[in-house]
Amino acid sequence: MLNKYVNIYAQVNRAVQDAYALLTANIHFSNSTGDLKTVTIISCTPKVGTTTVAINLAISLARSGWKTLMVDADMRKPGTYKRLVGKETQGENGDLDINIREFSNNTTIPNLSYLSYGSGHDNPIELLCSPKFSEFIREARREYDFVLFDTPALSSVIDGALIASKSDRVILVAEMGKTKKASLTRAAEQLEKAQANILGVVINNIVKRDYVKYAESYNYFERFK
Amino acid sequence: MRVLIGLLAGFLIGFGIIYIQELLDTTVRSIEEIEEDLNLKVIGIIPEHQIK
Repeated sequence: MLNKYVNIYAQVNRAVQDAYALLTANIHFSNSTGDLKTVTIISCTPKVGTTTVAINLAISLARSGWKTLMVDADMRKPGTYKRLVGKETQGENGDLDINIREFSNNTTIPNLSYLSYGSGHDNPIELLCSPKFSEFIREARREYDFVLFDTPALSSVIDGALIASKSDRVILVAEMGKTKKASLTRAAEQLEKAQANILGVVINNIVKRDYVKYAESYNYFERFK
Repeated sequence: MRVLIGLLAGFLIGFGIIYIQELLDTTVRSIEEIEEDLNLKVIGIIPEHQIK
């Protein structure tokens, strides 16, 4: 297979690594039935670190031994702005290619594959509403234990809501002191309208002081003392 | 007398600005706020990357 190899650098910071491990654990707690496979990572507004959360969560899941696929579903962002560079899935007419095996990239992290929808599609909305996309999800579910979709912010385009409606659960990424309460409420309403199931909120970039406070209240920092 | 009035006015304006800033801050400030006011579950908190 002509798979390209994508370099993904795992987080070296112990505290951050542990924070993602805890998020992974929370996902497993919500997955008692075992049918939680596809998760959309989305934010209300851009630039709160959605892609960072998606990548690191994918790494954490892969490290726990789950065969994980991270999908870059942001078809609006030009290629040069993409964090990870890999082969993109684009059919003849800007279509979505569902041949996941051929279009997914292996990464430097074992168990973790990466797939990008690319940015050359004429009409991302039509594409996400097409049977091709449903087929893609079915295919991905068959091949992987977990599929994470990194999507553009809800405030900019509807793409994320469309993907969320077709995945098992949604994780909303917010930033303390930056994300507005109103936009979080609106995002939750928007997702509910799209019949998406919200798994919960991930708060990104918490300052150290707050992190220690919350980690303690979660009875989690104890072992560092 | 003038000095006193000036001092008082200074305090009032200073604290007034802080108060108004707090009132106008509509961002999420705590986990409790998200869980109780917005009725959403917080499933993860990720620290800044430079934290040790």
